[in-house]
Amino acid sequence: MASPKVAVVGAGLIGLSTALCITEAYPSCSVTVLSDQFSPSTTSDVAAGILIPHTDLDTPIHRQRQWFKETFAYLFAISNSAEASEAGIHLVSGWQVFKSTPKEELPFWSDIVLGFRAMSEAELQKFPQHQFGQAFTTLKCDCPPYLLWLEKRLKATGAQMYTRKVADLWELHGEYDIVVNCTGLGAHQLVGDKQLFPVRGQVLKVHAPWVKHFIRDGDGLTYIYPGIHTVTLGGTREKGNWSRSPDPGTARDIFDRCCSLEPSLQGAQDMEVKVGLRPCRQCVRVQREVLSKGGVKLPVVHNYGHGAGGFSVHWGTANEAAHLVGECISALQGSSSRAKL
Amino acid sequence: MRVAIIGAGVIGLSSALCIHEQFHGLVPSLELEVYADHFTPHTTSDGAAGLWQPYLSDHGNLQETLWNKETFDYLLGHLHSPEAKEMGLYLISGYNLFTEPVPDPSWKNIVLGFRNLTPKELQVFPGYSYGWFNTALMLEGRSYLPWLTNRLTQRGVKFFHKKVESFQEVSGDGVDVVLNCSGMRAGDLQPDPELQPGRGQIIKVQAPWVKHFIITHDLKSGIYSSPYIIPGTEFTVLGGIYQHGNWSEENSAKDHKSIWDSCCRLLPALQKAKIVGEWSGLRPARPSVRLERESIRLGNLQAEVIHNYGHGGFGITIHWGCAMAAARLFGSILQEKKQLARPPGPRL
Repeated sequence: MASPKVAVVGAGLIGLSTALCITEAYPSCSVTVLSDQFSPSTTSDVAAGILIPHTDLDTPIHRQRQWFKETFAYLFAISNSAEASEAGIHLVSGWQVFKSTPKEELPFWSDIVLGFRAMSEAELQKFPQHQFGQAFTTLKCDCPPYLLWLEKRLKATGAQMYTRKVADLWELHGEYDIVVNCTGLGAHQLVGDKQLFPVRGQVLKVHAPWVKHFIRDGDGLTYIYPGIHTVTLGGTREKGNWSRSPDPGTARDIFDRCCSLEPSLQGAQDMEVKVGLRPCRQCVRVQREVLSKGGVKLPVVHNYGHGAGGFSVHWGTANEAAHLVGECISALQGSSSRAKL
Repeated sequence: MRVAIIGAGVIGLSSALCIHEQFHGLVPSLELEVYADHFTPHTTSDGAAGLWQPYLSDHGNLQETLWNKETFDYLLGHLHSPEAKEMGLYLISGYNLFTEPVPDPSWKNIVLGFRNLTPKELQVFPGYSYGWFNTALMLEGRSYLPWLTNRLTQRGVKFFHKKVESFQEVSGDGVDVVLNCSGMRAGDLQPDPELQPGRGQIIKVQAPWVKHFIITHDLKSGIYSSPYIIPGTEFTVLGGIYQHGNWSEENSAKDHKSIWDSCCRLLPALQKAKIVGEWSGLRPARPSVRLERESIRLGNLQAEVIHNYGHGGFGITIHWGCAMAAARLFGSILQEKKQLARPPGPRL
């Protein structure tokens, strides 16, 4: 097999980063990204893109740690380079505050972000309703810029991108040798994964350039993430809610909750309301599978179900998925050389 | 009782406000007048980025450290008020970088969350081996000065666009107290060889992805002569020029190149930043702030002058502490003139 043809289905954060990892690890492959949506219309575009991991329930902590560490290191290098502004990657400092002291005062990622420490009494005065807090510096990936930058890097490798709705992975058989499934919530339909469910998130994007810090309530529901041009205010976690329509009552509630954390937001301008459906699953599915139908085989690599923590682990899972693609290539080359005998 | 304030930078306007707040209720006849040749946005205070941060060492000048602390605490108290946005006031965190270990500064317990930088953080800044991280405040002159002006106007304070050439000019006219907040030009009113310009130049850029201040230090060259980057609300300030004794307010191409090259080396992403402006200004530098009373004989009249100038590159940092001190001096003048039974204490 001279030049394996790889189709990556999905052009959100996971699809694009996985495609890029594949082109870098296996330059002899031809990679094509197929998706019905591209930036700025993907779920990833709604997310603030802050690097604060969510604890996946079923994935071993060491694996989540490894993914986060790889992702952080990769983005850290970009943030220190001349590309940083184009890629939309920047450092941001801030606070995670808790109304009552959490059981786990040191999360698994505390040594991976920068300068992690407990907040001082003086710092906590800013948050009269909160008893405990953590201060640290982390990274933020602004979207669309980050996705557009990934697309640009992909194009430079010769990868192709097409708008196409894939209704069935078998559609791609014959055209492509290996299929990589990065369809996020779409996998519910595409591969019939009933473990996948949406957790609806509504956010507001406002103009408030004096907000230079992130503030996050440890309950994960209320957060303020300053991006390059706008500040993302959130949010909601509505399990099982498939609605993509913004809800005005919810918008008001988010704004009120954020203003109680950061009163100066009362002066924010130009509010845009957005909704994203987090592709949640008990654990991220990064897995190889060989589909079989009537004696024909289709190698598939899955990389979906990142829930609320996609940005934090994306490069780690992309690397792992690319590695699995490598295994598929070896298997194909093995079987094709056997076929030649 | 007429009070003339000379100068409409941060020192003049805040001193005027502080005095009016404290005394207008006690002295019904109090009339304040601000005289200046430059008003916002053309004052030195307008050019400053607005970061609250004193110099590295207070040289044992505890009084100034106290005034800095008073200012920080005062501003911190206003952070959650509805006025904060209009004042141009907000929290900002960032980095002070050194090529060798240095003692902690006098202000380490004034700011929030002061700590040393970790090795990983220092990786962001090749060439620097030591540093601090802390959370401080920004008070943007371009917002704060108009805010002060509005508060003063509401209180009936009058403004006069005029270059005052002498104390006699204002005091002869029935003015009882003169507040000398003339900054760099104080020497025109009364010679002061200790007051010298500390010329600075800055480049304004669009770099909204920069969320931290970054201040480098070269202990041999002195304060502000090493690159610094300070993100504001509308643009980011790049600087790193301090020229003692240079009176030029013209932008220098050589300084521009020095600032640009050194800041881009510090933050490579700045290479893509769009330049939107440039400015030069003169820091009114003095070995210590001149904040004291002086009785000036002008013909057969005696005028009380309160000097409040020479705040160098830390005017915004120290302004409120100085305004309060000037107000106390004003109170003692009132006592002497029997305008007050006793100095005003805290309102119960």
